[in-house]
Amino acid sequence: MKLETAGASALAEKEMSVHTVSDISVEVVSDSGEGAQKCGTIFGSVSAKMGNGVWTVEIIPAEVEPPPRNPAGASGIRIRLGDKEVTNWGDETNVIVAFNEQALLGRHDLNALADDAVILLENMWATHPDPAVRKEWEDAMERLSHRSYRIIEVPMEEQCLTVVDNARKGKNMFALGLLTWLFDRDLERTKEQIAFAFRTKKPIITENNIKLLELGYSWAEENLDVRYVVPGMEAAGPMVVMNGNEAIALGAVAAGLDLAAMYPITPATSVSHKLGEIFEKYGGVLHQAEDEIAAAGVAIGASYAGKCTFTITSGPGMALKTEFLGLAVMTEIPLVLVNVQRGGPSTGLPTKVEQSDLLAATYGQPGDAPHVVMAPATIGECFDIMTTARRIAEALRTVVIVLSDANLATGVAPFPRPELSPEWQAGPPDQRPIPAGAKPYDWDPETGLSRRFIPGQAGGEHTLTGLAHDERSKVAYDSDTVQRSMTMRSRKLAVFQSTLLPPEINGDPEGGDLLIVGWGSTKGAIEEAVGRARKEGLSVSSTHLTFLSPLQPGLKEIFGRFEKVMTVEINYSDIVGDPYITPENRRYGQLAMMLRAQTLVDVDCWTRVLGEPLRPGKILQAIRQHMPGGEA
Amino acid sequence: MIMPSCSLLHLADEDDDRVFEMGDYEGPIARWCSGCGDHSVLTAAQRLMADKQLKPETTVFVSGIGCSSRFPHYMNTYGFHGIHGRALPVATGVKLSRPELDVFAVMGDGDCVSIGAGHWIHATRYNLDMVALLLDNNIYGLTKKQTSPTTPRGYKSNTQPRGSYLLPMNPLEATLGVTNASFVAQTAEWIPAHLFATLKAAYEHRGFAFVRVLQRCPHFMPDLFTDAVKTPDMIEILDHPEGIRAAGIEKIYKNTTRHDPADLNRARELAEDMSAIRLGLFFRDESRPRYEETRALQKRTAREKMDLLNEDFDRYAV
Amino acid sequence: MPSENSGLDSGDLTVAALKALTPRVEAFHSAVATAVEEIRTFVTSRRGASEYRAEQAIMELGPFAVGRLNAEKFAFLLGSGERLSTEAEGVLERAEEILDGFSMGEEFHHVVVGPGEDLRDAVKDALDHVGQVFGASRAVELARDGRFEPDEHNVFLSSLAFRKWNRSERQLAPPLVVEVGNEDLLPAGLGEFLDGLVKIILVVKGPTTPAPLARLITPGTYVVQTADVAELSGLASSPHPGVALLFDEERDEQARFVHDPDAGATPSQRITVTHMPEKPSVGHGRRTPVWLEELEHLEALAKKPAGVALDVEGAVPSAPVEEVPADRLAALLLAQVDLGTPGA
Ligand SMILES: Cc1ncc(C[n+]2csc(CCOP(=O)(O)OP(=O)(O)O)c2C)c(N)n1
Ligand code: SF4
Ligand SMILES: [Mg+2]
Repeated sequence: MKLETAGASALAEKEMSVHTVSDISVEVVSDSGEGAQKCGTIFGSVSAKMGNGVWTVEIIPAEVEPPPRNPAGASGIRIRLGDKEVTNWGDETNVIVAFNEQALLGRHDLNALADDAVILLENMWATHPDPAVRKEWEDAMERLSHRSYRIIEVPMEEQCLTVVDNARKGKNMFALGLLTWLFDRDLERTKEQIAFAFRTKKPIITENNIKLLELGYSWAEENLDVRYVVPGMEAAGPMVVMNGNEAIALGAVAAGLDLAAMYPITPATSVSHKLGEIFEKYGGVLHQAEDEIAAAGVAIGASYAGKCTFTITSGPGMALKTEFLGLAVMTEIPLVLVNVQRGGPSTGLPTKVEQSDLLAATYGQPGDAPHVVMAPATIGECFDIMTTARRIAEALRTVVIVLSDANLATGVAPFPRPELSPEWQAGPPDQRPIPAGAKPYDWDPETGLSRRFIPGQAGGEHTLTGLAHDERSKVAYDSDTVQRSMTMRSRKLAVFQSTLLPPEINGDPEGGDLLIVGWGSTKGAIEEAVGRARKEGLSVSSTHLTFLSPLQPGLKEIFGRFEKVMTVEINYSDIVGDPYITPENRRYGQLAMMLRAQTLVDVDCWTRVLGEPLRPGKILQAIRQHMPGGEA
Repeated sequence: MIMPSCSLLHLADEDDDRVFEMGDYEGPIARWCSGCGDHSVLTAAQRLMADKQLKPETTVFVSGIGCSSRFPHYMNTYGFHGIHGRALPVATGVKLSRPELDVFAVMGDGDCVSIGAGHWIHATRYNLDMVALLLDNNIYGLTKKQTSPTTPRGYKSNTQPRGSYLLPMNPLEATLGVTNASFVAQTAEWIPAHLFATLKAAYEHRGFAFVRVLQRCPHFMPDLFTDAVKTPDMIEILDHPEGIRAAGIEKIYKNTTRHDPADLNRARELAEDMSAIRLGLFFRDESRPRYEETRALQKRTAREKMDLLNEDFDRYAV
Repeated sequence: MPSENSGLDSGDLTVAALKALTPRVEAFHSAVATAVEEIRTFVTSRRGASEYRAEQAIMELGPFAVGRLNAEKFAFLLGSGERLSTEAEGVLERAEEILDGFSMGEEFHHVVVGPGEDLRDAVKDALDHVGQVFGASRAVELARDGRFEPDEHNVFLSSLAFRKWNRSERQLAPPLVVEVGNEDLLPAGLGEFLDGLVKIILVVKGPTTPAPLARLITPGTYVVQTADVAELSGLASSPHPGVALLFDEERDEQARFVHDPDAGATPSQRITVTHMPEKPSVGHGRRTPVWLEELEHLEALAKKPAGVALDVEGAVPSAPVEEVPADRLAALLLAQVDLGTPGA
């Protein structure tokens, strides 16, 4: 979408242009505390109700209370709208409403804005009594002028003061009015949504907010000359909208998990916030332990005593839990661990996305500790995966690690409302007496599976131990037992793998030049990029892996249908051609490493750690470059 | 109080006429060194179970790693021999999800006072209804004689062959300093009557009962308690009608001090003063909030949960 | 103390008494409901053909598994194995029906003793009736393990007499509220039911003898006579069996007291008397001997040994110490009836 640029000039004569677009990204940015997020959330909800695909992400400054008018302090929200389902946060922003030029500058500096972005900017700073502020404004304008943005100055403060005394508390609704006109949103629906959003506040608040909305709307109507139409779709059925962490919390409830043990860590914590709010009414206990080790221990103790439980964390916390994970594998106690990945290593980038814990999750436990690793790819899957993970953990008597990430955790998008089933819930712990002669690890030699004994079951008394043990749970170091028990714990995984289906191919299942392989939250962006590349005529397809350990079957055969296979991941890999980097010493992306080892196919990788989700446009570029015989 | 957390189904099949003898709680022969103090703690625990007629299937012994942590293997109950230092988190999970089970945590001094120190402090604060036994031999036994946090200053070990550098940590003093501590006692494994009376009081206590058991390790600390064993007067028994009274020991252990276990300040003073080895109940307060009660919730059926979940989804409806 | 309770009829009292027992009622209901659910899960997962089991497997795995897992294979390799006989299924269904009937509602916690009927028998019948729950659970256990023999075990699917309940079942006993006329209030026979966590509240209208429950006092039984429903909370939460007598109003000739097994080691420490009727001077002869006997029994139990100091160094004499709980109770009662200024 190319938009003409009128610079910062006032609009003289109005000549309307209306663009019908299938996809557009909008931002509202401000100092924190000015309500930009509320404005965006309401705008997003109304758009979803009008049948648009929506993906919103909050723009969060690193500090809790950053100084005002500071590029690093830009706080706000980004909303991507589409005429179809929107599966990722998209590329650059096309329209931005900014409450001050410094917040805008912050977005500009991060290359967040499209070259032809339309900017609606509060202009009170241009004539501010403080000369320092006026100077900042001028400098900012000068820097912004190097791009071909179209900046439209809006007297937001002045306008808002006609309705409220403190414009700081009302600008967001005025901005909502601007967007409502700009995108031709249903004004009545927007009013309803405002009333809903402020239902717990005094009625005067809603009244004023609606006045401000109308004011923004009519200001836009009088002064703006551009409008966008994003056609909506017929809703296939009822939809719900939430972020991935809320989906995990509700998914845990749906799965019948009754105890969650955790220690706060970004970006996983909001799962516990949600559970803290709702879990007790389901009879569920959210236990905030003294540290991550204890959280794992409590979850394992509770699982051992009855129903499977789970623990939620992020990378650094998972590191602390490794010894306990090994114990759960060794003693065959079911456990679900959710790792909402963030940037690493060490404290890294707590609020930003990365997919760098795959190897640690799969191989990070000292000793041989085979277990299941799986990853949701969408917000809806964050909900569904919990039931499946719990069921697998119980069926296999082992650990299931679920790898989500900051992208899913903070992205908000609608998905079809799940049709809930009581069958998803775990039954109460088996308390039947154990028949004489049964053993606590009565491994079926074919499958390695055995029946779990739970305290309370008469006749099942035994001491489980993290030491090497035999079928009766007796400590045993003899070669035969050690080899056999390891085999049994590993065979379960092979049995499980035999029940998995090969992944589906997006694009051409027959094969082609390039196959992109992804996992986790990048699915939407990858498939969008592949779709665009195919439109360009490139012979490229993609596949997305849900099960990372054990890997889904058929990969080698699928890879064989393509001339080249390349993973796309948000983790670090060396780039061949960089100083000292050769094809031999190159460090690959994490999934690429696993696939190379498992399939002996020469899988390439394109991975980046940019502190943000991958943009489909960038993946598209990478596809073009990495086509066999292409530029790279 | 026994409140079934699950179904009533299993109640039905239970053989209620069972009468348990001590032998019913015995597992395989314990493989500690001969003369190891752990043996008598094991016997006392089995005697306690017979005394209280605890059911083997609803009793769980959780331990960490160490000589002492082998304990559950030698009991004929459910046992959880986990990882070093982490007995208490596991025990917390067991009790939290199944409050009707009887839970015992058995730890060594390395286990509890060193690697698991954080958990020890917090478990004291949670105050779940369980018995926590610290089998304190002032040394790392299993790993062959390394200094522990309770090793006497100057004692030579394999890691500190010129004698330990630091003052030993005092576990009683530390526990008594933790908010919400509700039961703190000390006993010695070589006085079986006192040991048993202490375990019994700990079991009867409603809350987190922390018991430090002075334990001989003839293998690595042969001299540690020899004087105390030979000279009963080195031991001072805390006596009070509300405290722990072991019948029959008064003839040998004449050195007693009256101490009301409700008196926390005095308990702290007595614990801090190392001039005598004091055995008995330092402190007890049953009124302190217990975590499993604070967190007790009405259980929901699958259908009820799904109805509630539907309501929660309503709030996210587009 | 003028009582605002005096207007209550026995229906209101019954409702209030049931309310006081809510935690016990809920514990019972939820244990039954969980059992029902367990049976349902068990039955659905064990019956039917293999396609059905695959369907069940995919249902349990949830929508995420669709297209990712081969449900048939999963059910075969990792699903629950054993199959159920039709006979066993019949038993389970019958048991489920019985249990389902007890998983909610309060009817079976409520007993009315008709005029001239025997209180003990009424309580016994009520407990036997609820005993079906335990009978049914036993039948389930047997059927699940394939050990159910119709000839021998069918009895479990009808009532199960209280004396056959085991220890755990008694711990779970449903509480009862019994409406009984003052003429028929002969509670001595209830002793045999005061075991496990059985809780019985007798609701009675009109004058009675002064301490009908005195003879039910044993070291391990919670016993309370009161006209204030607030005082029943101790009964519900006590980890001991217990019986209460709830009067419709406070009368001078009816004793009000609590015997709490956890309150002390001796009877006098355990009993808190809030009101002790005057004993008639000897020779008046209008009262029956029962009257005197039960009152004397209560007095004897509640009497503090004179002149014995507590076994504490420098302890204060026992009387003031013991008065404290009574004072507290009095304050609590005052607060409950909302009298405004005392004496007004
Ligand atoms: C994480 C970890 N660190 C260290 C060890 C080695 N380790 C095993 S037992 C032990 C100390 C045992 O001493 P203590 O807890 O006092 O028990 P004791 O053997 O004296 O009964 C150590 C250091 C381990 N098993 N795990
Ligand atoms: S080394 Fe010491 S603590 Fe360990 S078994 Fe031997 S005597 Fe006991
Ligand atoms: Mg030690």
